[in-house]
Order: sequence, then C-alpha cells, then structure tokens
Amino acid sequence: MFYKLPSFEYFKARSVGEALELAGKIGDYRFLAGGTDLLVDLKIGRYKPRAILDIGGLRELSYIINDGSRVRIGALTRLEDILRSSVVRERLPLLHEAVYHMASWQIRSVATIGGNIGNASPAADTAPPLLVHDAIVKTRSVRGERAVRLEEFIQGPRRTLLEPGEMIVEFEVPASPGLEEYWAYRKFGRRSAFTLSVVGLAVGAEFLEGSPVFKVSLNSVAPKPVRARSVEEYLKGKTLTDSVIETASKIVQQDISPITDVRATAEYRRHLATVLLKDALKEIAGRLRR
Amino acid sequence: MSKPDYVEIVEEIFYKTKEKKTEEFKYVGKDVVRWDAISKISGQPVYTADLLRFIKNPVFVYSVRAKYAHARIKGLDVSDALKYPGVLAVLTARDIPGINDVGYVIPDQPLIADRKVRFIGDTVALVVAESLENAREAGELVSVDYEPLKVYLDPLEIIDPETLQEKPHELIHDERGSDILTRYKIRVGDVEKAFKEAAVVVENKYETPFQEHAYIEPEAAIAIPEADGGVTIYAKTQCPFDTRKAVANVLGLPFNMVRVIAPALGGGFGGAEDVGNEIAAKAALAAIRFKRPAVLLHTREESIIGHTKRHRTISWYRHAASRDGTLLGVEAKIILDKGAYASLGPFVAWRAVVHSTGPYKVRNAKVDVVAVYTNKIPGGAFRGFGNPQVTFPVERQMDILAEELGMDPVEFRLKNILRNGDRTVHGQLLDHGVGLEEAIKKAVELSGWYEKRRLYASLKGPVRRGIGIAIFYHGNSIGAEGADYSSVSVIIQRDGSIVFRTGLTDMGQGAIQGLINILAEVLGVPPHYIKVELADTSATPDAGPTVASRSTAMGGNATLVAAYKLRKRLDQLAASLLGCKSPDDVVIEAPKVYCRDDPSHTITWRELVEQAFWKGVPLQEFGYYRAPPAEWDEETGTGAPYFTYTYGAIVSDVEVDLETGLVRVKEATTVYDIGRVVNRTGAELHAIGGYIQGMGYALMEDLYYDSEGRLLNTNLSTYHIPTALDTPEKFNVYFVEAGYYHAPFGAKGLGEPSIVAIAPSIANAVANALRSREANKLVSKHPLTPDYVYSIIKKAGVKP
Repeated sequence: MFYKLPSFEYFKARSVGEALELAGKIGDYRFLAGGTDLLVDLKIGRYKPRAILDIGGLRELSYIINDGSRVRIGALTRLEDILRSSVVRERLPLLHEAVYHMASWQIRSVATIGGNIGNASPAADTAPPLLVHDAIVKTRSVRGERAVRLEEFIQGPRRTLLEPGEMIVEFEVPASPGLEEYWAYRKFGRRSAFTLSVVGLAVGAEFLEGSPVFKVSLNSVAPKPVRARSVEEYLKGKTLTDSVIETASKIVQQDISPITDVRATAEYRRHLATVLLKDALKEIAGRLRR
Repeated sequence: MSKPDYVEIVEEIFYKTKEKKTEEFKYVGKDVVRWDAISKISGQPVYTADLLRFIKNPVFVYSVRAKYAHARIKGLDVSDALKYPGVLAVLTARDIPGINDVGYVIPDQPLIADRKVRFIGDTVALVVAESLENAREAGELVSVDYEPLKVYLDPLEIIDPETLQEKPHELIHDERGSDILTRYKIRVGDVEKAFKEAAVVVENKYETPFQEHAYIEPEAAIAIPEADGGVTIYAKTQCPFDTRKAVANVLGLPFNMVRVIAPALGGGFGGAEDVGNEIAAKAALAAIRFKRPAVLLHTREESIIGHTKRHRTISWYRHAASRDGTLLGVEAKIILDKGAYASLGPFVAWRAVVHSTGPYKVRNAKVDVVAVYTNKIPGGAFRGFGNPQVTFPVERQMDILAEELGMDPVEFRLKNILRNGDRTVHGQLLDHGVGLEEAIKKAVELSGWYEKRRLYASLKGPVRRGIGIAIFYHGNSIGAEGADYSSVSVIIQRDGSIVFRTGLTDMGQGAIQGLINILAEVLGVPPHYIKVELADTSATPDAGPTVASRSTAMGGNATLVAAYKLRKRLDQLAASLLGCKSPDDVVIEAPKVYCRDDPSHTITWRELVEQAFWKGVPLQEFGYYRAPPAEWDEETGTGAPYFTYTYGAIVSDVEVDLETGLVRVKEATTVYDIGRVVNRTGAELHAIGGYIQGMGYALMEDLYYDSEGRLLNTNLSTYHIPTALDTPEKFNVYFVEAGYYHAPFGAKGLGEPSIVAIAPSIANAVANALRSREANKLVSKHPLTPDYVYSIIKKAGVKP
C-alpha cells in the first residue's frame, strides 16, 4: 500500500547494441525508458524484475523522420518532441492531437512513444492514431529485426509480442494525404486535462481511387486498443449521410467489450463509444462536403 | 453591567469607521502582497518537511496500518521486523507512556490500535528505523493475527432511516455500546399543521459524497527531544495548541513540556486538524524514547488513507409552502456517514443542524441529524464543516419548490430570505448587517440572470445551457462548540520594526495578512514593518484553533485591541513631543509622525519609538478578545448558536452535453457579505479558490471503496480534482460589506463560506439546463459525473 520501489539490479545501456546484448544476458529485466509507467508499476508490485535496463539515454532512438510515404518515429522519442514536431503535426495530425491531450508537460517531457505502446495499457492514447495509420512496430534483438503490425503487436492488457531480448526500435507510420486532412479525434476523461481516457477515439479517411475508406480506432473500451473493423466494413463504399453515421456509430458496439472501473461503468463506456463516434464522423463528413 | 475594555475598543472603532468607505483606508481592503509570498515562490524552506535539511542524526517513524477495515487484534508479532537492518524499535500500544488516545472531541480513537481495527488507516504499530526505507520495509514484516469482523460501509446497515433507531449489528465501537455517535435536533413551531395547511409540498432524498482535502503538502512532523525531558515538535497542524494537548496526553507530560510549532502549511482546509495531533504524537514518542530527532513523512497514499474527509451524508427533506410562495415548514432527516472515529464529527453534526434550514424565515421545523459510525476513513473537518452537506439539499429543494409554484428561483428566495430584524429558525434576532438580499441582487445583476434564464430556455440542440443560483449563511467561529477567544502579542522593537505573534496558523489561507493589514492600519506603519512569528505553543499566545472562519473576526479583534492600546500610548507621547493640541491630532504615516495641522513639522517613527523606550512607555501589548457566549437548547435547537453570519449568493452558468452528460461551468458569480473587506487579494482569491474546490465537489470528487473497505482511489491520479482547464472561463467576484459591530472594522469570515453553496448552484444550473420537471427531482446527489448526469437524462427522457 505504501509504495516503495523494490530493489533491483540496474544497468544502463550506452548503445542499442549494448542494450540488446545486456537484455539477452540478464533474462529477467524490464526496460526503463521514460519511467512514467514503470516506476509506478514497480512500486505497486505489478512487475518484480531482477534487473532494470535503462535505455532512456539512447539518443539514437529519438528521431522523427519524414520519409515520403511514411513517417518514422524512434521508439525513445519523447511525447513532448512528438507534440512539437511539425512533421507529426502536418503528416500525422491524429497523433499530434492525441499527444496534445496526454498527461502534463512534465510527464510528456520524459515519457516516450515506445513506452506508451510497449506498456500495452488498454488506455494507451498514442495507440488509436497509430492504429488508424496501420503503424508497423519495428523490433530488434541479437537475432535480428522484425516488423509487426501494431494491431497484432499489442495482445492484451500489458501483453505484447515482444520477446525476451527484443526491444522496440521504431514505429513506421504510413502517412497519406487523406489522413492529413480528414480526421477527427475525441478523448473523454474524468476531467479536461491530465487524465486517463474513459474512451478515446481516432477516425480518419484515406482515398482509394477517389472514394474514402474510413478507419476507426478506440482505446479504454476493450482489453487493448482496438480497430473498429465492423464499423469500417459497414462504411465501405458509403457516403457519410446522417443515417449512415447513425448506423455506423451503433455498429461500433460489436467492436468493443468495455469493463467497469473507477473511471466509468462499462455501460456508460458503450454509450460514449457510440456518441463519440457519431460526433467524430459528423466532423469528417463536414470536411468531406467542403 | 459594564463591558470588558476589549469589547468597548472593538465597538468604538467599528462605529467610528462605520461610514468610512473601504477605498478610503490605507491598508485595510487593499491589495497587499502577503507577508510570505516571496519566500514561498522562491522555494525557501518554509514547510515542515523542508526543515529536515537542518536536522542531524534523525530516526524515521513509519505507521504500519491495518490489513482489514474491521477486525479484532488477537496477537501481534514484531520479532521479524525488529531483526530488519536499521530498525531500532517497533512501538505498539503498550509503549505509550500516557493515554493511548488522539480522539479530537471524544476519546474514541487510539493512537495505536490495541484491541481492534476499525478502518484501513488504523495504525497497529510504529516502526522506528535509521531510514524511512528501512522503516517501511520492516513494516511489511510486522505480523498481526486478525479476526476479521463484518465490515460496515453503509450507515443504513446500522441505522433505520425511517425511525432513526440503531439496528442490531456487530458493533464497531463495542466499548461505547452503540455506533450512533451523536444526535441533534430542531423542534420549532407546529410542523404537522404547517404541512396540513400547505398548498405545495416537496420532498426528496439527497446524497453528498466524501471529499478529500487534496492539499498540496502531505503531512510531516519532526520532533526534537529537549534536555529537560520535554519535546519540541514541528508539525503540519492547523491547531498547535490542540496538538500540544494531544501529544502531552500521549506522552504523559505537562503541557509546558511539549512545544508545538506550526511552520507554513501547504493547505489545511480542516484536514490538518486531527491528523496533526496524530503525526506529532507519533514522532514525539520516538524522539523521547531514542533521544534523537524523529521524523514522520506521509506519502500521498498515506495522507489520503490517514487523514479525515468531509462527511458523506444521506438526507430526506420535506418542505411546505403556501400558494403565494411563503415557506411554511421544513422536515428533515440527515445521516452523517461518520467513518470509523468521531474526529470533529460531533461539531460537524451540530453545525449541520444549525444550518439545516438555510438562510430562510422558517417558523416550523423538525430536523434530526444523526452521525453513524462505519468502517471507512473518518469524516472530520473540511471547509464548510457540515454546512455544504445541508445547503445542497435545501437549495435543491428551493428550486424544486419554485418550479412547483411557477416562480423564478430568485423571486422565490427573495420572498423567504432572512433580513435585518428577522429571527432565524433558532429564534436568534439578526440585529446587524444581513447583506443577503443585496448579495442576491448583485449576483443576479452580475450574472445576467434574467436574460440568460430566458435565452437558455429557448436553446436547441444537444448542448444545453443552464443557470442556477444557491444562497447560504454560515455562522462565524465555533459558536456553542466551546470557549471562543483569541489573542495576539505585538512588540515594537527599538529600531521601529515590529514582531507580531499569534497562535493562529497560516495554512495557505492567508488570514494572517488580514491581521497585518489591521495592525498596520491602526498603528500607521507599512505592512512590511511587521514580522510574523510562527505559531508556537511556547512563544505565542493561545488564540484558539485556526478553524471555523474565525481568524479574521476573532484574531482581528485581538489584533485591533493590541494595536489600539499601543497607538493610544504612542499618540500621547507624540503629541507631547510635537506639541499637538491633542493626542487625537497625531498622524502616524510611518516613517513620518506629525500633528494634523502641521504636516511639515515631523519626527520619525523610529525617533518616536526610541523616545518611548527612554520615557518608559511600554512598546509591547497583548491583545485579547472573547466572543459573547453562544446559546443552544439541545431539546428544541433554539438559541443564538453563532454571534454573526456570513451570507452569500452564488450563480453558476453551465453547459450540459445531453449526449454524454458532461457538465462544464462556463461562468461563475460569487457575492459574499463579509462585513468589510480587510484583505482584498485574499478575499478575491478565496472566492475563486473556494469556487473551484466546490466545483470539484460538485462534479468529480468522491471516494470509492471495495466491499472489504479498502479505498480504491488513494492518490491524485485516481482521486480527481479540477485542473486549470476545468475552471470556468469567467469569474465575477463581488463583496457586500454589511458590517458587524463586534468585528474589526466590521469584518466577517470567508474561509469556509466560499465553498458552502457552490455545489448546489451548479446542480441547480444543471437542473435548469435539463428543462424537465422529472430531471429536476433526479438531480439529487453529487458528484454530477457525466455518467450520473447521463443516467438522469435517460431516465427523465430529456431529448435534444
């Protein structure tokens, strides 16, 4: 109850190579990036690793690169750097918007995007935008590199496909002119700032041969952040009329399975998912009409 | 019967300055930079925990808390903990030399539990170790053999709400033989007749939540053993003299061997009353035992579990009115969820019963207040002290009544409010400044009430607007709770600088600045001449507790008396030195002193003080003031419970999203009658700060327990208080100054009043936005979280 940090061995990696080597050797470890989730989790006993492997100082994994059809973001890029990046603001506005509503300046200045995803919280706020963008998670280990779709990478609450000895190195985020223009983000919390999502929602539209393809993702409504596949399926080839929006926002119920906790009841979360989706789709419909 | 001189002085100054506008004062009512602002914003060591850097060779004290919310202690094994590195001792109830009790009003709360535990914050042992980490780690090794008992989280499991009789159950306080802590009542007039004759009767059930103080500074205490066997303690405490008493009892020492000093507090709001006693006693036990400084520091989680909360209440109200909108009678039952210990509950329950009918003319009333123990964190003192819990249902009832009668809520209130010359429900004659009507009218004007009321009724779409009013009164100081006195000492030093001492504390509320302004005004010196010493039981006069919005009126009177006496003597001396016609002609505008008719001929303040020193004119003065005793009849709830009341009217203007139930306050208007503004900056910030804290209470704050009585939201990431982004875009703050003749320049308190009517004003605004008779009744509890508001919208069938 009266949280204390348990004892552990501490290693600080000076390079990605060294981090992977150490990880392979130690076995029972947790990576320390920004530490904003890890330190709390250690104190409440969620993890009891033998060692902490500090990768927070690895500048080589802190970058945002505008790479034509995609944006590459280093795993150890701080949220505050993402917020201030003009590349992210212009090419991944959904991510910019989500990070804008996250935590406080102090926490954003140490927390990393890799940590937010790697922690695999159902409420991870960078996940819905990255899911909408079909982001790829690049991982590395002494055995080599892997690329996994984010949607598969997060398996459940605090569970990912990351294997022992493996670390996230980069997010490869496909960008498109559609998502730069036609997007809407909603975060509903217990208060207006510095709060966890009761429901978070990212919606965007891409264009395939001139017609829009809608992509929808939510957090805090399932064991992990989810893509609303049923909604997307329904919207295929449709125009966002009021009745289509109405139906789509009801269909989202098939894509979610929220729980009741201190922040809200499951029933209310279900209701919110529909309301927020309707609202977000209306916003996009408005932009599409212009 | 002649009046005491201090009463005459206070009255003389009041009547002399009664017609003087506040703008015409030099320091009173002005924006003066607080005496401690610079040291606080520049990070100087002003708080208790800061002092740790000056302490050598300390031991650390950690409280091992209960594993169950209700259990008998069958055995305790500390042997493993004792073996842990760095551990000096594990103290249990047996190690207490004096009395094992820190109950504030009644002795029902052991410092260290011996027979049983009654909530999850109960302390079962104290680990004393060389480091805080050692102490905490060893704490895990203290093994307690518990026999778990049934956990009671709902007072209605213990009391029958119909009969208000105690139900058979497994007693939490078996030693008392009952889990009903206290009962208060009002029996005035003929309620039955009033309801029989009523054209309209409105009744409803209401609930208000627990509230955490969430002060910025978690508790800390540092105890230093003295060579003579005594102990000096620096502790976060609002009431150092009460803390001294508690520590002396626990240690079995006379009061003068225990010295309690209260450094600056990072917020108190009432929460730093009894927990201050507890932490000081724990640290002192270790300091005396090991002859080393002993340090106790709470984490946020320990703070939230280890200190009292605002009492939760469940109440049933019935109001009767005639067709023309005259209130005929009130019937109410109010249950306070007491939590595990009495704390200040008996006083909170009393203040609740006193204010239970609101600031209205009520001739027929039948009210019962009952405080019932449960296995939760104890309810205690919190800004407003029982009044917010009754003002919420009363002000909701007023709006529902107004709707039933087809009247505007403002008109309905104006028809029934207390005015000068009226009697309260208790029969008390209000013979001075009742600024309530003026406050309501001003709030209506500043908020644009009538225009918005009309405009909002016609808005379409899913986002509604609503505007609501709530009014209140709040008895100043402690009333019939006990002897009500205050004192200060003022010593002018030979260089003209001034040392000011009082046992009143600064918990961030800034009331001391009001005293400085009063002292500066009367003496004629700039405020920066005055140095404020820390409240210190061995060096400052006992001024009574720093509670109940009493510092400005009570401490202000004592300051006024001391300043007046010093000024008289100095005027006499200055007149003779300067050759003024009379001492009344002396003008002190330090550093200049001169006769009114000859401003060019001056001596300096410092010269005047130096002359006083040589001529034997005493430069020190003690100011004392005692309030007239309060009257209270336990059987009828009549008398004169408080010597004066602060009045106020709050208007909240909100936006309600019908699809999500989200409520946002757009604009807030607060108008308070505080008699006279003595500290302008402080008063304005109180109006705003009180509003924000009240808004958190109205919209988002509550405690969540699991079925075993464990608190689920033990820190500020799960206990939500408003952020800057949640605050209204606009505040309108105004003060009415209907003076009180037994207060410094007429000034009354604002500390607590500034939260009392916030929640009901917001709830009334939400109900207004929903525009549904059914929804109006359903807005009957807070916090008005989005899911709760949405459930009302759904149930009442409110459509965009």
